[in-house]
Amino acid sequence: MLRILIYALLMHLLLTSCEPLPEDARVRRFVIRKGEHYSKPRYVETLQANKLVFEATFDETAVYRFDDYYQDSANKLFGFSDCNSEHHENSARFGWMWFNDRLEIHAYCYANGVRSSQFVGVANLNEPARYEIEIKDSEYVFRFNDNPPVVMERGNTCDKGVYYMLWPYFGGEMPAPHDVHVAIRVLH
Amino acid sequence: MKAIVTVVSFFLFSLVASGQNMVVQTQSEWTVAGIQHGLSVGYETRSSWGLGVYYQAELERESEDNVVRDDFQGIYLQAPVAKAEKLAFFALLRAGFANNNFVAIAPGLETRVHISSRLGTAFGMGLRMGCASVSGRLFVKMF
Repeated sequence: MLRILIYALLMHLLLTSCEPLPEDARVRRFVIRKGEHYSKPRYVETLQANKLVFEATFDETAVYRFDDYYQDSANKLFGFSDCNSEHHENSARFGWMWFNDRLEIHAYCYANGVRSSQFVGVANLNEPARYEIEIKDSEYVFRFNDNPPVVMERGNTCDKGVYYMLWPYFGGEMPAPHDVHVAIRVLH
Repeated sequence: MKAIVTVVSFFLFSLVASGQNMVVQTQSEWTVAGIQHGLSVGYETRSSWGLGVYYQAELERESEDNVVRDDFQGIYLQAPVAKAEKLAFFALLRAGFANNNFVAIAPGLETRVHISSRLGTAFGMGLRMGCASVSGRLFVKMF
């Protein structure tokens, strides 16, 4: 009896005092295949806090060239749909585009079905950058590395509900011109 | 959420009053975002199906600008998978709200070891925030 109790307590301690996962084990590597919009692998997850914080790393596959008409179209990096909303109704995401020979990062939102986008900074290839979206009562606050925060309007949504995650997506209208790779590590 | 907890609580207390099994558990769960500790109270049938409520939270979590405490509360459903004399295996489904507003569903599997007829411990693996989690519990069958 005593032996079983000691075993049980030891197992309890063992299972609840493990070391954190290695950094690399929490990195998700996405690829958007040539000619496609959606990234793989596909995940179904929901946001579980009022802040989404993550690191993302692009490599040279983020460089592309389209006709001028399509070049400034934002691709989507990562974000979420707002409370019980479809993502073209209320959502907040980071967007990116290869524009002016640099990798521009944008805040990309839908509020009550109205789309808006705002430049937040420039990312370097092959370097992890920190991204953060905070949900407030009537706005989203986008933070990117040490750049000044960008505030975007939030639509009229509920508070309690499902906030589903929105994973990397290429486009706009144009699909990926070649395989595009991006690595994401969710921090919170 | 409060209404659900209230209704489930009334349901559980009515069952307790009729002499069924009420199980109280303390639990710790290691998730990708940290360790959460908590408590659950539920009703368990003789065939080991269970239904109850739970609350778990990080004891302390510091962020850059303030202190936030992640929590997860809701109801759980437990289904028996296999049973031996002192060992039992369960499928567990927890559904509720993380940080008050965010719907979260966490499926898992649990191995329960009976230390005595009323006291035992359980070890579980589950899926939280898209990643694997492990948990440990101590449980007492009250009635």
